[in-house]
Amino acid sequence: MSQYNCLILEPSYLIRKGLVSFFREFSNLGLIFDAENMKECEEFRNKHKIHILVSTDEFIRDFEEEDFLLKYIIKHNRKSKGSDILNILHPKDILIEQISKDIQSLKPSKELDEKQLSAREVSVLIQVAKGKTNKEIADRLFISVHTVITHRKNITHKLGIKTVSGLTMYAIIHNLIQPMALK
Amino acid sequence: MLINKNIKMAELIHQNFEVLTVIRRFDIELGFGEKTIEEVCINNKINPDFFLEIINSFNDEDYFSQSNLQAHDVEDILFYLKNTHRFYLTKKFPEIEQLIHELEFSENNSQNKQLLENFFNEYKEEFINHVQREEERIYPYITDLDKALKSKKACINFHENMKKYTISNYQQEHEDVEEKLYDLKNIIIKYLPSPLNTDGYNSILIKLFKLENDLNEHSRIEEKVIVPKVLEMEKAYHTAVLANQIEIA
Repeated sequence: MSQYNCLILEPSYLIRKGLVSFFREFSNLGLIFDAENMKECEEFRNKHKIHILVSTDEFIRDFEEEDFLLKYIIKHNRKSKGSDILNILHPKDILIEQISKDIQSLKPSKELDEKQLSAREVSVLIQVAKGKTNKEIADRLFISVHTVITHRKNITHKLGIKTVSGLTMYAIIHNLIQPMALK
Repeated sequence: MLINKNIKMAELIHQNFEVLTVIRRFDIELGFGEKTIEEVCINNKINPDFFLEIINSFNDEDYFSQSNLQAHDVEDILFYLKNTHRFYLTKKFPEIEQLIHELEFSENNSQNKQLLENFFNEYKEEFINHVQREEERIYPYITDLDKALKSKKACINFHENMKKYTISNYQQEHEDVEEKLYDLKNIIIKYLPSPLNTDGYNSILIKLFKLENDLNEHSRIEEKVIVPKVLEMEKAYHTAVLANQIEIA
């Protein structure tokens, strides 16, 4: 399942919080941030990749050049319509339909979806779990240190485990290494 | 909801029972009767405004007002942070250890308990190191800086050390001990075979999630209150030294 991060940039506290709770209903959205102003918005964008931007007319102009998967302009005029307009006066079912369609049409990125470890990743994982350094792993498997690092990143991403101790535990549970081989 | 000092302490707990843990950290005992927050704080020799800032920021993530919290005395903030450390080490961690200890596995899964125990121990040791560095190095530095500013006197050692170590060093080395906690949760949720007493995992997970929330709140105070406050104090110190307003002996 893809996870898209969403940022809501809207000065009004009540509207912003309402939008946050609305966007939380989409299970395929990842993190949902809300910002009152540009400064807060930039703080999030420095730390996280934002895929979907929801904002008002005055702010959206500043993002014209930028690449978001989806952009919505918040409107509260009964007549406002359009694919990039989020009309907050519309009833819930219409809004849900509009946004679900847009999200589904996004191309699911492969790396996000693939969770199974490849054979190569399993062999790297075993070496990591045994406490080997990147250099040692590279020498042993005849690959570059750079490739080892890429494999490690992918392993962490796929398994949701960040630390060496965590990976070791995973490897023991799945009988990839014997607990004896630990030290 | 915004809490003010005229609300009754008992009422506060009915509103959000999670604040119970915070109240403990201030060494406040239950049995409030009809006393307001202000009265209870005064009886316990706690600054009510500071107490409210902590409670409000704990209650509502959006409330977190740096300007207010930064206005408080550093010693109050350090006292609270130290008590929070104590709370993790003497309450939270033993509770989780006990729950892991109570897990029962079938014969072929019996190694899992040992694995969990080892993993949690590693996490705990890392956490203790982190806390020790804060309490033995960083907090005393902040206290000394505070004293120097208030008394307008600084000892030469302190002044010299400041050239080597300031709060910016701390900011850089403030690493994430939370990664292990994240892994532990994921391993239990996704990968470990269930124990015979399945409820055991649930109780552990609930504790781990609560601990994580609490730690986030704790690091928010460290990063958004203590660090900016000390940066300002350092600036004030250097300005005062240049203007010969601090006597270095």
